[in-house]
Amino acid sequence: MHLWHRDGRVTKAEGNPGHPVNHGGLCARGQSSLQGLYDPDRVQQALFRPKGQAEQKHSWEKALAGISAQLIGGGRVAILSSLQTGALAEVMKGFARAFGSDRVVMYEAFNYEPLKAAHQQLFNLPVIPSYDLGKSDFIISFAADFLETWISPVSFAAGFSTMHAFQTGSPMNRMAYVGPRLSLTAANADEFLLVPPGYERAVAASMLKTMLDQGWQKQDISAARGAIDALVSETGPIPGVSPEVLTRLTRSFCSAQASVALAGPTAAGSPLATDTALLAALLNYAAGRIGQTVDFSRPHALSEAARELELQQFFASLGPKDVLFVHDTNPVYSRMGAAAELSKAGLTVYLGTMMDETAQQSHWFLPVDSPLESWGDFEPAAGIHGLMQPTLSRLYDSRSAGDVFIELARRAGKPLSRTGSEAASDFLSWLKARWQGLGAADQAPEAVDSPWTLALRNGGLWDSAPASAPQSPHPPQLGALHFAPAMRPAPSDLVQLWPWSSVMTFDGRFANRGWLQEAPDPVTFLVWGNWIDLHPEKAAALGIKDGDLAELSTEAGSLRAPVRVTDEVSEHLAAIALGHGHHGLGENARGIGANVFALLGTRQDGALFASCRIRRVAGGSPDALIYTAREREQFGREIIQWVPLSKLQRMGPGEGDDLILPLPEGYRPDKDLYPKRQYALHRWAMVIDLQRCIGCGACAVACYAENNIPVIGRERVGKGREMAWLRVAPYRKPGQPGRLSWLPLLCQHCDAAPCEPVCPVFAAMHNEEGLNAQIYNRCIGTRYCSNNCPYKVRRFNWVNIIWRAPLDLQLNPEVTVRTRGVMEKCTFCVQRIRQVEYQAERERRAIRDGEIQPACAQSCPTRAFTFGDLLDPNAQVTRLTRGDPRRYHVLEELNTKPAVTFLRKVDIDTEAG
Amino acid sequence: MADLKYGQINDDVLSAMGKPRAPFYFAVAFLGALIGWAALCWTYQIQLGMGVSGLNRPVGWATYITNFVFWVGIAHSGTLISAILYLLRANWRDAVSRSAEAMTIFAIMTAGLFPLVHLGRVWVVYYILPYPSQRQLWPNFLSPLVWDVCAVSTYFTVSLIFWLVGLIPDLAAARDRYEETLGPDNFLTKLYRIMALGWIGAGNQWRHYGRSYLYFAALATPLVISVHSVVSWDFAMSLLPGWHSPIFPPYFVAGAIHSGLAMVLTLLIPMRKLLHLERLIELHHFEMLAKTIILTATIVGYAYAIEAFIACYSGDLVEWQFFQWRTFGSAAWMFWTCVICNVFIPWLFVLKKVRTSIVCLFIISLLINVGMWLERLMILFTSLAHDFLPQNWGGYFPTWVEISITLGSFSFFFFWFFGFSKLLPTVPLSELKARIADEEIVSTGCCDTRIRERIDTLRPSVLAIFSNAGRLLEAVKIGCDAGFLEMETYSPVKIDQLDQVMRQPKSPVRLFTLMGALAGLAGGFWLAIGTAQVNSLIVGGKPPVSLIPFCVIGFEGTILLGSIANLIGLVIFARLFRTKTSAYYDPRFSRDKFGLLISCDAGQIRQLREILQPAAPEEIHVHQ
Repeated sequence: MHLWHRDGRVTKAEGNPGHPVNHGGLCARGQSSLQGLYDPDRVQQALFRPKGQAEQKHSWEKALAGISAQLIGGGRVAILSSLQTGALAEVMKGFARAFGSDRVVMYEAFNYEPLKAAHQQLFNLPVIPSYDLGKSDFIISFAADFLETWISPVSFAAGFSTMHAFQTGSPMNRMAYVGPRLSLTAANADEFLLVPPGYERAVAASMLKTMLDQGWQKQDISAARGAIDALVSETGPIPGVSPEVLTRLTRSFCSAQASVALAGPTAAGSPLATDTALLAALLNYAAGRIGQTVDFSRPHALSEAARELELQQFFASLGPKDVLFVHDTNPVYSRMGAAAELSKAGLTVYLGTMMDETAQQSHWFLPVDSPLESWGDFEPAAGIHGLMQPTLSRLYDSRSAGDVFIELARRAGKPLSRTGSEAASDFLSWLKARWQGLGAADQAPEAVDSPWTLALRNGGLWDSAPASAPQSPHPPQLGALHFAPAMRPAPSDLVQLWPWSSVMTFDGRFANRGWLQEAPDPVTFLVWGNWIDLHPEKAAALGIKDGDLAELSTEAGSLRAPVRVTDEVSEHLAAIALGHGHHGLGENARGIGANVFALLGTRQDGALFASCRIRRVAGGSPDALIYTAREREQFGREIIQWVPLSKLQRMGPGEGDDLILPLPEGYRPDKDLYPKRQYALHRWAMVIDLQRCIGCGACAVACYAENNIPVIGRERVGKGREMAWLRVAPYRKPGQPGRLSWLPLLCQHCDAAPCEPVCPVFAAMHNEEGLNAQIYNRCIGTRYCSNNCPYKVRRFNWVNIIWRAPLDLQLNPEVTVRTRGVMEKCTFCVQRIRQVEYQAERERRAIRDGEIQPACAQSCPTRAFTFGDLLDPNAQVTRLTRGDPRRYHVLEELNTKPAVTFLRKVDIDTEAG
Repeated sequence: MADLKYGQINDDVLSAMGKPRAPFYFAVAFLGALIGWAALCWTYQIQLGMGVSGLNRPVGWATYITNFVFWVGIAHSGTLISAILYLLRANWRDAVSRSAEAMTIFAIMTAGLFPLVHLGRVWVVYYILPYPSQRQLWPNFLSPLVWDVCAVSTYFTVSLIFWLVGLIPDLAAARDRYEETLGPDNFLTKLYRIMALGWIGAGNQWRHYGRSYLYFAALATPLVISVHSVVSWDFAMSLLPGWHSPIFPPYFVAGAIHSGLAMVLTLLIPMRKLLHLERLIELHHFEMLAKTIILTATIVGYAYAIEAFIACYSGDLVEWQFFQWRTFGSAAWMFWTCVICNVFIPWLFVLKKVRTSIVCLFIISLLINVGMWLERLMILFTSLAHDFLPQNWGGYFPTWVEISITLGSFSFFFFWFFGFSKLLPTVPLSELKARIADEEIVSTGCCDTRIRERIDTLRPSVLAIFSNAGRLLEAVKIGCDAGFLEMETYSPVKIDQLDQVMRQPKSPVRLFTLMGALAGLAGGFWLAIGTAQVNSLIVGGKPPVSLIPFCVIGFEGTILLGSIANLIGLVIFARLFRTKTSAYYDPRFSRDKFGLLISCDAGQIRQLREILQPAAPEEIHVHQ
């Protein structure tokens, strides 16, 4: 990650362009790390909460003394941490070892147990392999939401857009999704099979059966035939999926140059999900994809996250003698029963930044550094080492978690040592020692810089990572395959729970970050909270209407949430997002939505998640669902346009629409009353490839971060006061309700901008480089410009904005902070344009194409945005605007001459195959 | 009215200005309280931002602009009645014109508040004014909002001048009445003495006054048409479906007059009752208003129909879908309420029974007011809430702040009107009296030479007093035939024939008006072009100097400077810059008496007395 830095504070997070995982892109959650750093609800001082007494503030000295005394007094050590892979993991393990314990457990709410279990069963490798989506021609996802939260969404999004983008001359690659709910990933699929929950494995099994029947397999899996046949016959026909479709999918999967099957869903842990993972792994194996698109030699870091059995053992081992350290993880919130288990420990020490649910029941709270304040490292996949440096001095009296462990061990008389001889003085020296060792093995002798210096400069070491040949795991053990019994049909008063993980709120750890709460869910455009998706037939049978409040209950617990009635879920499903319903964390998270983890007991009833009762309760209102875009239909207006592949393939460069460009050549004597407008130096413009856009909304959050856009809050957003300059609104594809397409809509910087002439005071005006500029201190707030903008991309400051300290430290000093009463809007990140212009001026050179990256373009994981100068004939933006056969303008008929050109989505029609 | 005498008209009107009773004070206090509450709400909104209103994205304009358009619309009928019907010689206008003009003034004052109320940053509203500033940034004369500022302020200025000029003879009547009843030192006497500007009803004054008034009417007529056209351009110049329509100017003007006429009925029906003006404001006048309302209702109905036709016929998908939503979607109740209240119900006036029933007139006028208010909200809100990209569609519901400020605006309007009804003559008494004079006048031949209208105070003179306009005219003819060529007349009414008989030239006020108008035309373009070159900013692809939009500024300049020059001409020529009346003036001249002052030599006094006998003067005074 790269961070913009001003006056000793960080203002913007960006992906590191050199990093092999994100390639410079960054998801919304990554953007929000700044709000984690500057979270007003961060705990600023060590706290002690003795049993039965009120909370007390303490100094570090007292805290360390108190805890080390407990350790000296024979306290047994147990450590529960969020996933750590580098030096901190070493320190924690060393710490535990020093006190004679091996209880260091990396707890992640999403531990991908089914994948690990399946891979262990088949290949004896309980790991999450690397999936190379960019190389695939065909992806089939069994409810794996790999564009949202599944394993490594940013790299998967990049890979997906690489394989799924249109490239002249090459055939279109495709993605199919099998699952019970239209997720962001499902909506991006070329084919979405809506199946009842738990039927994903049936589809996979049927595909395997087809493969075997047709003899399409490349690896022998005949030993598994019996189990597969049994499963297929036991399941019977799959609702909504015809045998022809299955055959077609199987053929596509097998005949592709490279294909991959992915198994989800993210939050699952039941035998049904393990079956899906098993069958997906078998599909990959049978089609010869292991070692091709599925690489077991580079397991993903999440492989290290504790598995279910480890967790159970860990929790069972806790006792009154234990000193339990919980680092940056929140099992009390995300795991049923964890609260009681943790309370068995004699002393609980929480190391973290936020007072989350787990911290609330700990005895000690030790405020540790935010990741942006501390040294650290992370290894997302084997061989890729990322180094984290402090990006600003500490905001509060916090310490690094590694230092706390080292210091506690020293005080308890058992100093830690990395090498075994010399005691480590602090965490930084530990980290340095580790990194010196990392690169030493294969460092070229002539290299001037040490690996440490290199890593400091580049943000990590990956170029020199050993490129071990993709290894084939052992041939699978197929004989012992058996599958969980088929689900019993649920009684009609029950619904199948489908907890899903939102691209914004993930497992709930980021719920206090305003940007993520206010960023709309890409599929529904709902904000601030979660809701229950219910099929219209089920809703009608239960007497529940859209917007009603409903109660879901399992034996584990119950929750209440508003209902959205939609045909985007399978009939007996109640889908609801995880990550909300906190009673800790802070002001933004508290009381928003409902906690779905509370429904997920450990009891297995044969369902993928759980069967639960649902009933309508009083107190709902249509306002409970807060949309920031209510309508997803196009009503024949062709806002998002598709071009059939067969037609596209016949088009050469330069063919296609004759666009009215925001240049003198855009003058049309029959349409224009006023003369041409000339630009002297630059005419900034943008191209957005809708085929690449997956709707994740990272650009919109990046825009919030870059441009000081305020978070307005739940109530006000519901009244149409949201301030997003860029919105990525979903539209349904006409005639295909299961497919959505997203329109990243920012200011179009029109040449004949309707907003400008209506402004009485020239606050909206056109600058000499074609930007539609808004002069904030000139604006008197008539709102006429917004009324007259056909794209409605201007935002009015309806209320006073209060930046709760220290969130104000995040404000970008290059961008004016607007007061109430003025209109504001996208500037194409004019501050970045100016910066590059000054830079080029100082270096006496021309601006290079692609040198200017507006925040949205920079963060986009799928590279959907291209920005540049239309006056530069060689610029990429010129080439696309003038030559791409898919080019079009939204609302071109209004003759606004927009500077943003969209590239049509590609419709893979039957004619093209 | 036909049976009334000069004095009765005078007394009826001026008696209405008598001391108010307690309920009046209660009503004014109540209105004041509502205004105060609304003012508090406004400060609250200024403090907290526009977020306290129900406005949102996409609905950036709603109740406030609705109120603005509504009140500007109300303001229309006043000047229509005063100016257009004056030019058309529709005499029924006289009885209602003063109140209608007052309504105009107060309605513009109310309307003018709303652009302020709706601004996000009202404290920098002066950015919109064309004044030279060190920022060297002038307002954007391409913006319909700047046109609005020019049009509405011009309209307010011209209407106010027009109204005040019309008031002068009546204020003189009030002055003379107060002087008689309360004595010369009473506060009211002094006040009206100042306001009457030394009006004595001299023939000379009436001559300039008549010409001036005519030109005011001529300038105000295109202004009336233009103001609501400009207001409608706030919408028509945009590109939103439902707004972007060339029918808007006539549609809005008709709607404005429609609502204005209804408001006249709403105001005058109770006022006539409370101020006992039944003898002056007759049912006949209301009937004429009702007939005009039939016409405006029909035009409004035609506009509705044309909108539907264009939406369908244009083949524009967005426009057509929008129209369907407006008429059958979630806001359809507003649309149909408008159609019923503004078209179908007013059409009931076709039935004589309905338009001659005070109750029906009053109820229907209220319904039209409601319908026209809703119509503006409907046009504003539906277009904004349902435009091009479905992702942006939204809704709107007003908050208590907007409702309070709206109620406050009605209170503000009525507050002023209440004050007017007790402080100023609510009926133009001199014009009503002129109807009597018209009947009294018999045609008389002209003098052979031009009569000099300046009396030499050093010479003796004879003042003959008549109570009949025809006699006065007769006496003038007799006088000039006898060789007396220096005369002055005094009259409570304008007698056009006097100028012919006395062979007076046309008033030079008209030249002033022409010069002013030409200067205004040039000045308007000069301002717009000059500032555009200072700014040199390109907006919306339009070059800085874009002449078509500047025509609006040129037009407003023409009217504004023309009217001001007209006023200056009137003041200079009619010598309306004094508070004292002339020595020969008799206070009855403003009520029911006509005077003829003839200058003569000392020896001619007896001769004069004799020759005037055929004209039957009631009194003859000799000044030596």
